[in-house]
Amino acid sequence: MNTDIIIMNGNGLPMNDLDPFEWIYISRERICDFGKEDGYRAYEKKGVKVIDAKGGTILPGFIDSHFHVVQASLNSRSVDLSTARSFEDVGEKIREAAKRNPGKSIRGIRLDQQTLKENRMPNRMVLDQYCKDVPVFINSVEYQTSALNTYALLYYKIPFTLSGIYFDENQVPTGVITKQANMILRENVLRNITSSSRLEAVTGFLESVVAQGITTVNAMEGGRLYSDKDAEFVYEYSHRLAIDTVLFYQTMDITKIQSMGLKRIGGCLYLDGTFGARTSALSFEYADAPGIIGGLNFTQEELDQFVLECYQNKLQLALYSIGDRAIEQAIRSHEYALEKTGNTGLRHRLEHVELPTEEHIKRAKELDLIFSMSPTYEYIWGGPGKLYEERLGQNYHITNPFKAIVDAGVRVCGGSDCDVTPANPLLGIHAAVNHPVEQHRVSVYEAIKMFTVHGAYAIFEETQKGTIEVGKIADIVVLDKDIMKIPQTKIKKLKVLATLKNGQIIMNQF
Amino acid sequence: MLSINMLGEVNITYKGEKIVDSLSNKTVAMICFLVLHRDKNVSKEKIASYFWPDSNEEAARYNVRYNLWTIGKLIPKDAAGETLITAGKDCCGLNEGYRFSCDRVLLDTFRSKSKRTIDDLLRLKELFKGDFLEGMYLKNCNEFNEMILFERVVCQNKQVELLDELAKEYEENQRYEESLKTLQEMMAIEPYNEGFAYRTMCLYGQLGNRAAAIHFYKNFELTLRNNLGICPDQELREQYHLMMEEPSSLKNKTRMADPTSLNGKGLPKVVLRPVCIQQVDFFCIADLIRQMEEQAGYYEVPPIDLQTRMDLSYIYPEIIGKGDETGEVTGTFVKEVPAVRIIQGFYRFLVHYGQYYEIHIVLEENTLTDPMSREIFRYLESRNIPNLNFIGAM
Repeated sequence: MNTDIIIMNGNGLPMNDLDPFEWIYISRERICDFGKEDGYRAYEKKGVKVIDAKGGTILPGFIDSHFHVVQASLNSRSVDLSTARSFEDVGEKIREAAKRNPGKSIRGIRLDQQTLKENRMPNRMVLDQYCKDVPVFINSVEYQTSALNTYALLYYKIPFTLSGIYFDENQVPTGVITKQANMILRENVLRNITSSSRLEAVTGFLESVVAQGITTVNAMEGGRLYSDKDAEFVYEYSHRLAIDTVLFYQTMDITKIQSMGLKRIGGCLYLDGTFGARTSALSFEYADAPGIIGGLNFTQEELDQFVLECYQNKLQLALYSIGDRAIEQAIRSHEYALEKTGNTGLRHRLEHVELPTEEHIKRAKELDLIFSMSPTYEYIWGGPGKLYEERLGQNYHITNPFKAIVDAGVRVCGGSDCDVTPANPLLGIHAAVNHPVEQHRVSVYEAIKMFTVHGAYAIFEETQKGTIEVGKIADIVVLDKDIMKIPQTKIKKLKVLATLKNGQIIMNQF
Repeated sequence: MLSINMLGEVNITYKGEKIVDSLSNKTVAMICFLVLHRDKNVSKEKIASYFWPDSNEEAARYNVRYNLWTIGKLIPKDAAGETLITAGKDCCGLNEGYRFSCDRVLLDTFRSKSKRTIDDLLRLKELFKGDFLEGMYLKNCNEFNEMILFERVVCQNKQVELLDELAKEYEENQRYEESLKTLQEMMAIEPYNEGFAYRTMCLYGQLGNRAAAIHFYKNFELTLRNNLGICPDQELREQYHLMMEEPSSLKNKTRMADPTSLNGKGLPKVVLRPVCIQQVDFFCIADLIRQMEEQAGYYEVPPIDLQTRMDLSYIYPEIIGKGDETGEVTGTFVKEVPAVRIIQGFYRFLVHYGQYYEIHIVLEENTLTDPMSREIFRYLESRNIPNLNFIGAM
């Protein structure tokens, strides 16, 4: 049974454009009252827990609108190879992992061959030098290539007749696998992870998520490069998790979605790729790869048909589009489907949507599309001297134009794309407020809305979540300082002191 | 007789009795190694380097001797008194005169270019119980492990070649169902193979099962989309569009696969397998009308009355294209027809065709009928329309 809770002495933001408050009273999972000064005293009685926020901010629980829950959780138990600069670095990390967990298979992630001095993926002979006792399965940073030691090549079911298997001069597989064979391999490996292993990994990982004040995530699961079993897991186990996980099944199988009773489809349904891999579809050449403009994964006709079917079946649709050509394609399909069906109110979303033009924003507003964006991208890769400038040249000035989007009236919900960037909404807010290009910066209040009220709207939960209102679910986060008063450049340094989910304290640092 | 199975988990039996469990992993591996090198003697030094690369020379040679002795002791002589292995001072090898059976050896008899009967191919197909030496890995025995990898590649390729030849043989012999089943096995191994997919669609065409071909294509397209992010190649797309736009191109095949037969009442029989989309009201009924109209086109059946056609045109507009007895279309088109009129129209439609055909509507278990159509089926079943039969799940 829940204990009634009063949080007092805070700087509360209800996030519905009404006046701030200083205290809040929570009972039976719900927000019962809030106000200023000593009004909370009316609720002080035996058994009511009183928390002194000490001037910190009280906000609705954060909603992370783009989060790969299962893969992020599994990755948290994998060996991070992003800092490896040579085969030796890779090998040492594998060796350490083998020592830490003897007898257990090893999965390495985020290996970028471009940062290795050898400039290629390690083959089985290299990996065997460091580990022969258990299967070693290494994933490249984009998951497009895998590298296995000999044990893993023999242990996992490998489809050697498919394209994507590399052979040495003796026609023996080298252990480096890409393309179709990699897809089957990944599916085989990921399918073999049991639900109990997934549950253990997710439960453990969500503790760190709760510590960042997140109470709801949009779980982007299944599909290409991931595993449908992840989506099935979230579908089946979400009620056992500490926070709410709203499933976005990354499939185009509308029949399956309908049979599961889901009301939304998509997530990372890739219309294009990434800036990093130079696969985002641009209207201009990549600055560091003349002649390359990235490609679209669908023809307009194909996408039109799929989007139309989503409209006809009244499914909320989330499409991954990063480059301006992909965004154009997505918007055209929505225009086509809307004209054909007249179905509105489905709150369709574009995920990431990093390079929208002014015209795109205007048309998106007319279509009532939601932009689901990841501001932390700008913090990590935006601005001069970083990846976006390397790939896009001076066009880095036009990525993620939050202010223009918000000013045009398009709703922006914020996500981390965890584990592409850390599960940290405060860092996301910081990034939106401190965009490296000044004209794209939004106010602190607008940035918080991305992770609260707009997040709730983007999943049809605004009547229950996203703002502080009497009767709403008591998903609350308490920060250590007043976010509206600290210097904007310090937002990322704010700490979460407490997270409440359904009126229960699930993280407490007081 | 001694039997050695290397495809799948390794197994060695003598007269049906399992003896593999009494042998160590390395002894089993040595036997497999010698079987693969059965056409020549192998130096003991090479065996030592394969299986005991980290031991000193003396220890390695001892291990080789000991294992050969173990094999000699535990693998019985054959009926002619021959031993499995012959060993000299420096070399050893498989005794050519020893009678035994081995799946991997049998597989070598398969050459895709030589003509084999279907029975031959089926016997070979049965050999594939799993990957070559499944589950075997010898730590530090790099060369041996590489040999397993190489053999797995060889065996997997042979399996696909063999199935391919079998599917073609079946097709040449007009055993389309079996050819289709074999292609399905091939697609289980190579799920993104567009060549296999194309052949599968053609076979469905041969079988006259247009609905299954369409379902297959849609599923295949979805698989490519979801897993590889690509769409089917142009040839496959064209085949699909052909099937969608010109169903008449399959008519002869339909008739060949589902020959119109006379029943006891002297009526020709038609079998309808509706394509369904669960979320679209009347979709299943509309598809049945389409199929019935197409099949009825073979014979001189009087068209159904105009009012019924107008009512049904709301869910299947093509039906209005036919004129009445005079060939003219008269009457007023209506923008919307109440469901009750569609249901009654479909009832009259079936009663009409029931005078000329014995109609079988097949609803397979995985048919996802839309709720409205499902209710209509229930209603129709209760009306006992002459010469109408429902087969399968309602």
